[in-house]
Amino acid sequence: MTMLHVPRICVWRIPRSTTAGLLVLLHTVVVAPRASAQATVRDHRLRYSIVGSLVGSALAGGYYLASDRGTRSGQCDPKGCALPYMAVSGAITGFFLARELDAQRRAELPRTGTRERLALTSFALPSAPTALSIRDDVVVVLSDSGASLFSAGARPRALRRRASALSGLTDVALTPGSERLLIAGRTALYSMSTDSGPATRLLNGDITTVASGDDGWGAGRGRVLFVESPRGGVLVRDSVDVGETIHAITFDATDRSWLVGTDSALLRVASSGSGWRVTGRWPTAGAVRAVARSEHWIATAEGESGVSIWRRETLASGVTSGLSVRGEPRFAYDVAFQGEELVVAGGTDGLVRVTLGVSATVRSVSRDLPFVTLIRGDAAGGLWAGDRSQSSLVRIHTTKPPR
Amino acid sequence: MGHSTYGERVGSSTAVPNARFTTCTRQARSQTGELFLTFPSAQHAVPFGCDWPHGVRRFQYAALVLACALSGSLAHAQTTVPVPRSEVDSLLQRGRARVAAGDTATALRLFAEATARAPRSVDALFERGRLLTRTIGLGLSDGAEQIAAWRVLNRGAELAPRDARFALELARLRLRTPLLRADAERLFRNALSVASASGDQAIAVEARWELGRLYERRFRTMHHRHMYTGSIFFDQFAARSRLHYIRDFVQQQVRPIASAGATECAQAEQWYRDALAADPRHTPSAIGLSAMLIEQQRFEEAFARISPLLREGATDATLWFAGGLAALRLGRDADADELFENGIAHLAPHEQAEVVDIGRLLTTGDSVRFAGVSDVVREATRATFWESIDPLLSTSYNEARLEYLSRIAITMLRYDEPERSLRGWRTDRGQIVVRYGEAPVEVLLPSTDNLAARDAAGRLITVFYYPTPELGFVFSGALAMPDALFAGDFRDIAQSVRERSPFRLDNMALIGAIDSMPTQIARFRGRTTGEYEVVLATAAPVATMYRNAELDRGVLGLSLRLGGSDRMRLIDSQQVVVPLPRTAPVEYHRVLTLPSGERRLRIEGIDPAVHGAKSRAHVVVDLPASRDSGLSLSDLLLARPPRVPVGAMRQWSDAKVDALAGTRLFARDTFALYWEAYALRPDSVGDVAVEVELTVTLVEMARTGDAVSRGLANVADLLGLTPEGDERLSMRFTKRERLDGRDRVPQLVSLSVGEAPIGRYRVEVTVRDLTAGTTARTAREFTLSPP
Repeated sequence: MTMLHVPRICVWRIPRSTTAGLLVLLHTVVVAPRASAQATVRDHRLRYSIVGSLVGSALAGGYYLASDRGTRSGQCDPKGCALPYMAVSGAITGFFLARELDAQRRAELPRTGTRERLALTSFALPSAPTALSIRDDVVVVLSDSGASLFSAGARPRALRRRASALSGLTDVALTPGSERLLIAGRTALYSMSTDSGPATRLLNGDITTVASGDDGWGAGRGRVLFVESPRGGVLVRDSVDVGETIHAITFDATDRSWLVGTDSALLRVASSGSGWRVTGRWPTAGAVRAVARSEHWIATAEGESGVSIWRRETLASGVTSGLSVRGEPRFAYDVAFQGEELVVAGGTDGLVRVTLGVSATVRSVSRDLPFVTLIRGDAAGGLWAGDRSQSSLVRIHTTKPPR
Repeated sequence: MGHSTYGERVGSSTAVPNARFTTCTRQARSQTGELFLTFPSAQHAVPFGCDWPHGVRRFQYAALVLACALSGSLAHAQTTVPVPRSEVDSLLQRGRARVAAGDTATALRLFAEATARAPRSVDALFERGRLLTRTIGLGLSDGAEQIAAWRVLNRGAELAPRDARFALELARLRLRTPLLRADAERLFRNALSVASASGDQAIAVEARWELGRLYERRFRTMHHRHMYTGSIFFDQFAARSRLHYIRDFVQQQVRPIASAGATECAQAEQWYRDALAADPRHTPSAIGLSAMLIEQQRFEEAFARISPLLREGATDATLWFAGGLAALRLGRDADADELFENGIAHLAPHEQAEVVDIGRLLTTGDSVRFAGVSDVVREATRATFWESIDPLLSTSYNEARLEYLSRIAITMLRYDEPERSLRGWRTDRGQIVVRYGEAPVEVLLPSTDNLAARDAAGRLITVFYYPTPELGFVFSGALAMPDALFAGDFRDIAQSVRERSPFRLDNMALIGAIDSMPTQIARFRGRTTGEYEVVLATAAPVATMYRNAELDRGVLGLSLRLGGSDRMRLIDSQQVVVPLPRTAPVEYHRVLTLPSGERRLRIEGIDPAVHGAKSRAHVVVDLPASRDSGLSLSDLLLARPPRVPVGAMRQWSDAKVDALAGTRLFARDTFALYWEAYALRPDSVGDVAVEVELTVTLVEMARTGDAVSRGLANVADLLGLTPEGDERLSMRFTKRERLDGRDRVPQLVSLSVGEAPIGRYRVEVTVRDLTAGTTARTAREFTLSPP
């Protein structure tokens, strides 16, 4: 028969205080976690509590070893006092620490899809970005302090600031060749060179949105869409009342029409020879904040109502209903396509990638951008985002960013 | 809910062996004067349960059980008279009516009577337990009421285990129980489970909302948390007595904890969203969610969440105010104005009166005087107050009032306590926010180590610091609870600050962006008695207003408003296209014919397309009703010299001069000085003869350079070593001319500044009527600037 030599420290009589402490610990780490355990985040409370308890015990052991027996009289006894007190304290500390960390992890965890880590290059802006436009290799981002231009090449860099001191700016667009900026504001629509010189008023009034086409521009003022385009060798400015307040415009080069997002629908406004008229209307779940298009898809960001997506072929066939993404993100600020994949700027919910097919499926969510409200794709297939919390323009790399 | 089980009247306390139950029934006795016990074996129950005292020996327990059993049997035997249901219903109805009337003491008595008569009535137990929960404070002093409420609600929960109301109220009670608040979350989750299991959606939504509030409170006590970086703990006494203590402490001794409260914020948001998913019209959850979104600067989301509820006709004023706040932060001032007004309209009448009352924005003395005036005068004073602090009258809304209402909205979202019918603007922190805006620096610190500060010991310290006026206020409050009061004697400090500065708008960027318009006003007598011609000359400083504006032309809107003691009215507006860049100011001239009295003039120049293109001038002109019948002079008018020779003048327009916009001249300028002399006495042939003395004095030299050289120069001024105080020009001449039926004699003099030192000057004209021997004086100051 083999004798088991147990160290002396382990054969202490367990005092009543220790028993009470262990009972508390047991309740804390076993009963409480079960009440609210979530499968999505690994529960660290038991582990941290045990680690905390062990640390506390080790400290008590250290106290036992370090203190002189003769000086302990009248002080906290290492076995009956220090050990249970420090073990339980350590366990409780570990428990609350783990609970806090788990809650943080849970808050960061996407509600659906996988978590995606992004490689980012950030550029500081003078204030929070409000609009973003990309054409060729120029990126322009609008903020309360004017327009900031950046090159969108392999090594992005800040170019210059324009439209300084103009107030109430709402939207921005770059004309073909990136020669001119079109800037919408609460008092007028302005045009200015991307290089130098003052802005000129093109249109007075509260302009909510502006976009450029292949050879002209469109702007929304209330319910009226203004389109300037060449006709018969001269630039002609038309206006069409679409019947609903216009919030977003984009030019659809595929059939040379304007896609107009309103309070309750996505409209297609096409040229009818002598002017422009609404040729298609697809109801949306909410007010359209942004419109994006790809080769096969058209998508709208609708704030609380999520995102609506239509396949181009179905639109052509007269079908009005499309796909939708609701609840993730909880507020869709902006949409863009990267290839045929939809990317949604979801504010504090991060950047959401949606795979489109028979249905729209959230593929991944990235929380690397704390408050992303703007998203655009560039010609090279890259993505640019505007982050409001850090007042920055961010280039999102599909590969590791160049040093 | 349909829970209306009634029990019987139980036996009197004399049936209970109270010698053994003194300890456990003390609380019950203190509440009602009666002594009842819980006795599970009996079919009837008594209102108050009894926890077995610790340390009682086993035989004592046995004796106690026996005694209880006997007493229960006796009681059961004695009390078989059924209580009419209508009687209990009547008590409950009366109690609810008293609650609605705010008379909680009577209501509590009625509910206690109902529970005494029908101890198994869950409605009675619930009403009593709920009201007790609502009326207790957060401290230890309300321990008796807390225990009473806990027992009543527990009894209800035993009788109706599927009734989630009791679970919810027990959780609310736990939240108000000192040392046990941390357990409230478990109880709320329990209430949610009970409500979900019993299919009680309304209570489930309430439970989710309460969980949201619980996390919101945690967020509010975590957000702005700072950690000590040094070894010095915050000392509220030093904060009161030492100059710059708060500033230095905030800058040097603490630093913010990154992302403090972010998790709690996310959880609160999620609970509110869950509640709204179950009931999209649950207004308290919508308010809570919008508050969380606004805290995170997610104004679009808040506005999008609130707008549909408002469109459907929400009646909760807080929701309207939240909508207004979100709209204002989004720059939709017109929407904000409308939403705030709707918010005021949805407040209870006494709350409306509080919000529109400007007394809180005045010093104590003024507020007392304001409260004492008639309704008509009060309304007029209120209108004048807001008009006088409106940064720009040209805009269609009053930005200062919007700011005030946004502060009210902030206090409602942060500090409202619906359970106590407490509005945020009445709280200590709310009062400070209303007067001085959101604190630019808010610091939450652990409790103080100063045992002398008993009101702050063991409590969370909140510091509001306003750097621009360097104001600091310290509060202390219970952990994870919404209330916080002035710490120590900061109530007195806040009061003294109020006396100096009752209302500040430092946080309004607009106010700092408004340029001043240099203005010159000159008063001349009108054609009739009691009428004046007022020459107004002002200029919009477009060089500053359009500085850095990359625009080919600006569209400057100029407006002139005039008012007496009543509100100002627009009397002229014009739009001026300003080709840019331009350095010369855009001048505005106007001659106004005004009756006597005190007149207020406001001139504004605004281009809404450009950030800094805002300017204004506000002038108060006193036009005396009584005119001196003797010799008197008009104001001196500084003007550009006439371009053409001037012939005989009957009035100022004959002088053909352009009044200078403002009183600023440049070195080497030549300017004209125009005035009118009234009531000169003609001699026998109808001529008037005057002797004019004109003196220009250098009042103050403009100093440049560092502080030392400026100080030395000032010393030299005092010693008379510099030209300051010198009369730079003194001229005297006599003039005789035919009066020719005129009521005035105009005079025009041209002067050249030459190379006079840069500074502030005073020009004084003394006219002596050589015929009558009388003298009159008039003067004006002007500034000489470098060319």
